[in-house]
Amino acid sequence: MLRIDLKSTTPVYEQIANGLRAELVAGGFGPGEKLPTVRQLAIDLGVHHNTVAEAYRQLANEGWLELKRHHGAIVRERRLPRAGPEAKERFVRPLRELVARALGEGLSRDAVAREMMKSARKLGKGRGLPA
Amino acid sequence: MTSLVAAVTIGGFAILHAVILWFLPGLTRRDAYLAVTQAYRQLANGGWLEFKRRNGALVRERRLPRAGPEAKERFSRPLRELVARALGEGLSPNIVAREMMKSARKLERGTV
Repeated sequence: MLRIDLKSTTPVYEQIANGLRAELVAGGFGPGEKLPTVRQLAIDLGVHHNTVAEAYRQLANEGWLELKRHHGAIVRERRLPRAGPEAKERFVRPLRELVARALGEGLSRDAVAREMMKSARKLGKGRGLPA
Repeated sequence: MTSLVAAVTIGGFAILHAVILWFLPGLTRRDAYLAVTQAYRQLANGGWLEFKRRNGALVRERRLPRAGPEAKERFSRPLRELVARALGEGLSPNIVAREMMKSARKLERGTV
């Protein structure tokens, strides 16, 4: 379920791309499946169609989607790339910042820790992304 | 943001400016200046900093707000997206899980 937070400092197109990527990783859309058209998704989310198009382009550049004229966006069969040495850092640093933000917003350490443990256990058991 | 807060407490604007230029050599001085001022403004809006004329930005004594019901969602959703990005980049689920566990334990021990 895609949701847009207009108060967020993250650009809307990036929020859309992040949400869709999470769905793709979780297997919400399989290879060959068609995503909603740019216009349809723009209407559903109440944003400009260029914003959705930008999100689709980003995911296409990452290899998740194939954009075809008049056919919309189709999910690609995508092989996982080999993670480079900097990939861990690209996960750890934003994680640290996300935790700091949550604590700054008043979430308790316990609640944040619990949430991370829940996600970690789920991942560790091979059950994929947390819902 | 966390690194910024640390940098502010250590050295103030000039050092932070220099640090950003050093880390991001592609940035022009003007871009770095704008990035820093924007970050400062964001931190000030969040109640972390206070601007004083001729004294720069000072770290404020800040009481933690009471987390609303949506605060957890504002953490868990980006967390899920961050994990998805990491997996999509090829990081193994085990490494991602281990890093989250590590952070969680640090939080529980109060070392973050």
